[in-house]
Amino acid sequence: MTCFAYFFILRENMASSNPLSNFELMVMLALVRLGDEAYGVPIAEEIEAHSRRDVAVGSVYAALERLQSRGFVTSRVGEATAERGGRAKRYFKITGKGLKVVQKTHQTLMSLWNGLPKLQGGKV
Amino acid sequence: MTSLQPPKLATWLLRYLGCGDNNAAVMGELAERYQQGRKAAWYWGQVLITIVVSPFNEVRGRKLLTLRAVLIGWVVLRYVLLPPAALILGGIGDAFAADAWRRGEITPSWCAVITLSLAALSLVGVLNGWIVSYLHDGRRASLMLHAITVLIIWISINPQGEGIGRLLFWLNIMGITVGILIGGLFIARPRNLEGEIA
Repeated sequence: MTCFAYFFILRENMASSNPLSNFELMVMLALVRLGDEAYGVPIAEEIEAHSRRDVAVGSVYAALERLQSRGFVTSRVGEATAERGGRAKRYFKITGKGLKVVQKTHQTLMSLWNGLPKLQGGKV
Repeated sequence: MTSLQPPKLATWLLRYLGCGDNNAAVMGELAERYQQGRKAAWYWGQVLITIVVSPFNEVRGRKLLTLRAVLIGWVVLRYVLLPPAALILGGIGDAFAADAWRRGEITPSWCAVITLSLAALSLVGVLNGWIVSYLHDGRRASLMLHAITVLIIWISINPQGEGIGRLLFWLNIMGITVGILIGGLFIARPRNLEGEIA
């Protein structure tokens, strides 16, 4: 029974090779910008400030959980505060593997972007 | 600094229906942003989005664990919990309400047997939900999917009958399904409230 359970856990933890979604990439970039102080509220605010649209905290956490399961992000439990109703913060940090994926995605996008006259000068 | 309390019902719903490993942290984030001057409508919107998004995310991230939960839940319900309940309830029904059932009459003894049946099947559901939740570390998305699966399979394979029989059918299945949700979501200790002090 234990081996049976381990099979499921190991299979679940195998790294996925799916590329990052647009929103996951934004979350990863927000983590890079925020450094050690990245938790839900600043991450959402950072994305809102740059995308100029409201971000659901639940969606941010859903993306963070996916990224963590793929080894791109680590997390630690921080301090609890009264304004959070006594609930602890969870700080997130990008891993070396995550940083490489962001760089690779950037290179791919830039490579696709370059040499497209239609996208030059902000006019389509 | 004034302390604004976010809507209690929304917080309660998120506490018990929110999935994912970081539910307590999400609750903290929403409370913190609410303190910064957000409206109650904003809070409700965020809670509803989280309740809808988080189960899909959990199932997507834990497909095989979810499948295991559904399979184990069904096997325990079908082969461990239901047979003794059906045996006892069948015996009681034959002894006290068989004549009324054949005549299609609603008598006090018949009503008592139906109430007992509903209570017993709800208890079976509660036990089943608790077992699934306990064996799967309190993962709520798996539990919800198990409840939906039981509902669909039960409706598919059992005859619904006519008149009172149909009413009985729906009472039984609702008793079991609601029992599973109560046992798994409200009685079993949720796994994703790490860091919650209050």
